[in-house]
This record gives sequence, structure tokens and C-alpha cells, in this order.
Amino acid sequence: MLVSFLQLTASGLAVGMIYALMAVGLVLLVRAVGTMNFAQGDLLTLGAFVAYWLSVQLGLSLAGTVIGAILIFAIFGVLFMLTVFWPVRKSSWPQAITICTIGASTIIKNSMTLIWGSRALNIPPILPGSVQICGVYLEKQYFVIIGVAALIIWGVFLLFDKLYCGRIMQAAAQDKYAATIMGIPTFITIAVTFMIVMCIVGIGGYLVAPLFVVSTSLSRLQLRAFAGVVIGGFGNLKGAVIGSIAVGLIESYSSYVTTTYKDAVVFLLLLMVLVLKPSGLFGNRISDKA
Amino acid sequence: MKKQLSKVLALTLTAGLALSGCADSKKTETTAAPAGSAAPETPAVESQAGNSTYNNDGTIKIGGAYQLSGTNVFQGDIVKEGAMLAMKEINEKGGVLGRQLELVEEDAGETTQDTVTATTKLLERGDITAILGCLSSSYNIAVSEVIKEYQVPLFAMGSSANVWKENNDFMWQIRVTDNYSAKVMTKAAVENLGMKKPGLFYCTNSFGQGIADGVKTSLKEDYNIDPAGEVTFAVGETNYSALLTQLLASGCDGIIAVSDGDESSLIMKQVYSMRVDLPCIGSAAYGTIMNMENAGLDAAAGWYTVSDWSAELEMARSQAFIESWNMEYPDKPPLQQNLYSYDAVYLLAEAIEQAGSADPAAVKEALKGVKNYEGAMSVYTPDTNRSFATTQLLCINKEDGSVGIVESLKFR
Repeated sequence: MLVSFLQLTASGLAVGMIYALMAVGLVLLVRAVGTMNFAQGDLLTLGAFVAYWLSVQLGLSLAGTVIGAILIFAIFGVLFMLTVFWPVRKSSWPQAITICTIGASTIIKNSMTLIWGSRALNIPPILPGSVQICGVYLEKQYFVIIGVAALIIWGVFLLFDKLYCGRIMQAAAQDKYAATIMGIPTFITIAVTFMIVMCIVGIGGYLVAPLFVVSTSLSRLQLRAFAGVVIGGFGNLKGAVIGSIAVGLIESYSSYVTTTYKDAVVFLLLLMVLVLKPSGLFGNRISDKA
Repeated sequence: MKKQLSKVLALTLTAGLALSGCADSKKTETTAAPAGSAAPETPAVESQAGNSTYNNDGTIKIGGAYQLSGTNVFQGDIVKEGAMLAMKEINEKGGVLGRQLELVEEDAGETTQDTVTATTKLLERGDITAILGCLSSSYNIAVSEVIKEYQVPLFAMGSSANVWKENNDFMWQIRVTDNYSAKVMTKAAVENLGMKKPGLFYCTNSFGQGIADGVKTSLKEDYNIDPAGEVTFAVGETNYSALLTQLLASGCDGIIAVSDGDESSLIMKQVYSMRVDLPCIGSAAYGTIMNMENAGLDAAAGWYTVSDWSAELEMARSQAFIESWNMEYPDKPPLQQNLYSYDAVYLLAEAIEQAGSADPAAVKEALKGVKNYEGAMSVYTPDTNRSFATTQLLCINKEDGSVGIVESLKFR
């Protein structure tokens, strides 16, 4: 029983942290541009493919892969903003940006297939092997995911809580017009937000790829991230992180009872939260803070 | 002005998205016959009646209704690659009945409804002699009614017994069906691997359920054994450590795993990382080099598999296929799944030659008469359920990535 519990907790926590990275990216974009990004899963997948290209095809070292990946993610983030968000940002139709993200999802997915082919690819783990804890062998990659994701999430909170540039970005997200009047360059703040989101999600793809395979099927993880955002409280960063980790753990534990319907358990929880507390678990309490 | 421009842009983007979705499902890719083709292409005709539609001087059209886009596009690519290689070889030798073979494709898409739409569109052309179906049996079963209506033979690349249970005279299976594979797997698990309390770990699609049911029946009837544990998962599942933990908690002394593609590599990988020290046997996907590489050769080594083909198969056509494949696709190793469509095309060519006609009804009758046709994967003779392959292999994955043959089984 203990063995099962440890195994389920480790895998649930690791996958939950990936959902949390995606959820943080979703919330940042919601706060910055006011819309859900339906290409989030594909951005995660793109991160996995870029990491594959750098580490396997080009043969770069870990440091080279990470630096190269961050640079590529940052550039792509700006590109994503300029092509998907910027042209329709002033549209009187509020759903325009959402529709554009759906289109972007299709384009990104098929572009990856065109470039890397349709066969699933393999990327070696950052830390290969497994470690034995209380008789259970746990992949070292789980701990890498938990550690790196925790670091990234802490960095995001630090940015918005303590740093001046984070407050500027929050101000621009809350009221663009007022921010512009105050002399805040909203173009730059939005561009930086997209860069940060792409980097977060892209690194998430690099972390999760060794656990699974590098293929476009990774984009399915975004549904769980959506659930985490809603459960935690729409627009609330801390809520999104806690909600996503909860989703990962519940998904993992529920597989002990039912394997075929574990997805149903997660979304049943989502429905219950929506019915009992529509604003999410942390929706009202700390809605004005990052 | 800017507002109007934004509206127009948003509407255009929406329309483009909608049209691209429509375009994907209606995409028709006609692959022209390779060099050597002298006959002009015959335009599609609406009416299916008339032998002249199929027996003029134009190319003989073989339809391909498999995934050309979406999440499962790699399955479609696998079928396409094998088919195109076979057609190229046949066309270079002069074609069939003096006519070149031509592959006409439609995107079977993500859902079974998309597959039905694609197959219907092919059949409505009125000039398709036969159709190559999808790797997944669920999609082939979905088009059974359409095939029956238009009476054009379809070669299903899947192995589910539910295909022949459709009782459709026009649906053929190139592979050994799951009812046989299940017995082979059970026999290997008990007699070769010594399992007395096997744990069943399988996918809940038609393929997984079919083999699992067959294994349970065979365990009970042939060996009076009940599985120690049974854990299922849906197609596309990615996290198997929790599921494997549950299976191992049943106290099983071995694992019988049934799944396709990505799932098989993830399962082998996670079994290895969890240091599970139990004998394991898997379905055909577990012995495919692509899945072995994705799992890691160390993780894949030692797994037994029930396979349709191995590169070590000592058949002349098999070795010739490998040579031809390496010349055509030097960047990727051949998979056993590529051979399904490869041999299916050759079987169709043989049937057309025997029939002396490309008429679907005549080809269907000729397929019934095929006997001991040596392909690259197996020797083919159709049984009463219209399944062609007569042999299957019990294999073991080696550490160098090769798949060794433990035993070759002949069913008829």
C-alpha cells in the first residue's frame, strides 16, 4: 500500500507540476490580454520538439540545450504575440483572439509534423535512471520536474510580487489605457509576458518529454491545465498552481480505483467546484494579487 | 477604418480556419504512377456501372483511406509508405495487365466519421478498384456498411476479429487476426515464460479488448488459469506508472501487455524505470524498432512479442523488401506495419492479374482464389474469415535493437 502511495504521489506531483506550468502561462495570458490560449498544449509540444532538435539532432550539451531553447522560446513568444494577438487586439468582437489561438494551435501542430515527421521521437531524460525510496523505484526525472517547475513558479511569483517590472506588467494587464497614460510601454510589457509564457511552457515541454514521447499527442495535457485554472480560480496564479497540482494528484490516485474513468474523476471534481464555488477555490480571497 | 479592418481580419481568420478544416477532410491527393507510365490518366466518372470504367487504358486506381493529418497521421504515413513502395516496384516492372497502379488518397481524419466520409468520397469516384484501410481496426469497422453498399474490396490493416465478424464479403484482413494472436500470446506466456498468475495490461480499444478477451479465454480453457490482475487504459494514456503499480499490487508473476504504438514504448520505459523484474510479453507494437528506440533499447530488451514480421525472417521476399526499403527510405528503418500495405498491394496486383480485370467484383472473387502467395511478411491464403496471413512469429527483443525469432507458427 505504501509502495503504491509513494509511486502514485511521485508521478501525480510531477505531472501536476507540468500542469501548473501550463496553468501559470494560461493565467498570465488571461491577465495580460484577457483571453484563454487554446494553443497552450501545442506550445508545450513545441518546447519538447525544440529540445529534441537541440539535444538529439544537434547534439548540444545540457547547458547549450537550455540556453538555446530559452532563446528560441523567447523569440517564438514574440512571434506568437505579433501574429496571433496583435492584429486583432482592438477587435470589437471579444472572441477574435480566442479564435486566433485555435487557428494557431492547428498551424503549430501541423508545422511540427511537417518538420519532424509523424513518428514519435525519444528524448533522453535530463537525469537518467531511478532512485529507490522506501522500496519504490522512482525516476529521477520526476524530481527534476518537481524541482525545476517549483523554481520557475517561485520565479514568477517573485517577479510579480517583489520586482518593479512585475508590477509594471500587472498594471498594464489591469488597465492598459491607464498604464499607457502613466508612460508604461504596454507593447513591451505584453511582449515580455508572451516571452515569459512561452519560456515557461516550452521548458515544461522539455521536462515532460522524457517521461512520455515527443509527439503532437503531448498537447492533450492542456485540458488538465484548463481544469487546474478553473479549480484554482480563474485569473488567480496561486490558485492555478494549487488547482493544477491537485488535478495531477487526483488523476494519479484515482487510477488506483479506476483506470478507464480516471479522466471522468478529474472533470467530475471540476464540475463540483463550478457548482459549489464557481469562482474557484481561491477565486475571491486573493484575486487582486499575483 | 481600423475597426472594420479588424472585423474583416477576424472574419477572414475564422473563415480560413473553417475552410482549412473542411479542406483537410476533403483533401484528395492523387499520387501519379512513377516513371514508365505511358497511358493517360482516366477522368473520374460518376457512374459505377460499366466494366469500361475499370478496364480502359488508364491507370488502375487503388484507394487509400487512412490518416493524412491529425494526431494519428503517423499511422497513415506507415500505410502510405508501404503501399507506395510496392506500387513503385510493380510499376517499374510494367504494372498490372499492362497498366500502371495509381494511389488515390483521402484523409481518414481523427474520427471514425471522418473515415467514413473519406471512404465514401473515394467510392463515389466510381473508378477505385480496391481500398487500403487504416491501421486501427475501429476505423475499418466503421466503413463496413459503406464498403458493402459500393461493393469494392477493402484491405483492413488492423487485426481485430471484430472486422471479420462484420460478415462483409468485401472486407479483407492482411494480418493474422487477434483470435489467433491471443492463443499464441497465451501459449508463450505460460509455456515459454512460465507464468502461472499473469497480469493483463491492455488498451480498451477494439484491438486491446479483442486480444485480452482471447487471452483470458485461452488461459481458462487451455491452462485453467485466471489472470491475477487486470488493468486497462484508454488510447492516448501517457502516465503508466500509477497503472503499473496497481497491476503489480495484484501479485502477478508476469505481464501480458496489449497496446499500440506510443503506448507500448511508454509502458516498456516505465516498466524498466520501476525495475519490474517479471517476464513480459507484448503485442506486435512491442517488437517494432521505432517503439523500442523510443522506450530505450535497454528498456525494450527481454520483452517477448507476438509479431507479424522480423527483419531476421529468412524469406527471399522479406530480404528483398528490406533492401528495397533502405534504398527508398534510407533515413528510417522498416516497420512490420509497413509490410501490411506493401503485401496488400502485391496481393491486389496478383488478384487483378488472375481476374484479368480491375473490376472490383472480379478482384474480390480472385482474392478468394489466392493460394500460398509468398509475400514479404507471410505466405498468404485466405481463410473463411477473409484473413490472409498464415504465419506469425514469437519474438524476443534484443539489446542491440534487433528482434530475434524464438518460434515461427503456421496456422494453416
